[in-house]
Amino acid sequence: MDEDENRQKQTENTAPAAAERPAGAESAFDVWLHDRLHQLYDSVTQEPVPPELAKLIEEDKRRRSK
Amino acid sequence: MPNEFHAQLITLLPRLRVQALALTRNRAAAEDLVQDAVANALAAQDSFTPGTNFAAWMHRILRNRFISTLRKQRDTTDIEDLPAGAFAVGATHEDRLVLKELGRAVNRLPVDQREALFMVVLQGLSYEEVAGATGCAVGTAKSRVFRARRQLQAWLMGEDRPTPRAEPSRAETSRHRSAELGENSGAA
Repeated sequence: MDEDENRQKQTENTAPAAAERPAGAESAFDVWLHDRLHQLYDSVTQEPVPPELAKLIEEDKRRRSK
Repeated sequence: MPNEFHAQLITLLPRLRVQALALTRNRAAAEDLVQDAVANALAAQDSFTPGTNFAAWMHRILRNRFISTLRKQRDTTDIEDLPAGAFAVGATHEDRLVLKELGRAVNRLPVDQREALFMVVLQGLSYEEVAGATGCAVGTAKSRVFRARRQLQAWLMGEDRPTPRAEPSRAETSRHRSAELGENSGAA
């Protein structure tokens, strides 16, 4: 495998796989899927941290910084 | 170091929530899973090596916690449990139907494929990060995402009909899901 191929492979593996929408003629469905999945599940990622979880983390942080 | 650990943990919470939802398919169970994983991580934080991949370490804890909970408990299948927010604003009746169908199809995917797909699409992780977080090879992570996309396409576009299978028993489902997830024990 030559250097270019290696570099390309490395980029493929480490690039944010779908931070951007997929591109290319065969990926019309993938673009659609990307957008619909965000429509379905983005609300989950944007929910605030539940108070009891925040408390758990905060208490541990306080205890350890003493 | 402790402050940094806690800050990283808080930053990672939305991603953990998505991973938990991918694994449990149930919002309440996902919240419980995140809470349990955070408690485990706090208890095990001295075993984390600063400077190494915190996200991968944390994703493995959550995954392992899910596997051990699955062994003890019920299978948390709730295919109707889709985020309500998705349907609230600006969606036509047809959009809602499509989204519901997509949600059901996503929940039919094998758990390892759903987890990888969510990590890549919703969290923007690289395949390398998915591999690190789920304890598999990079090629396997790629393949899981690829198969998830093609399977969803097939189901939603009616391009093929998956082989009908008898509904597995709860115990069988748990066994299958544990097997699908593998048994990586890299974290607490």
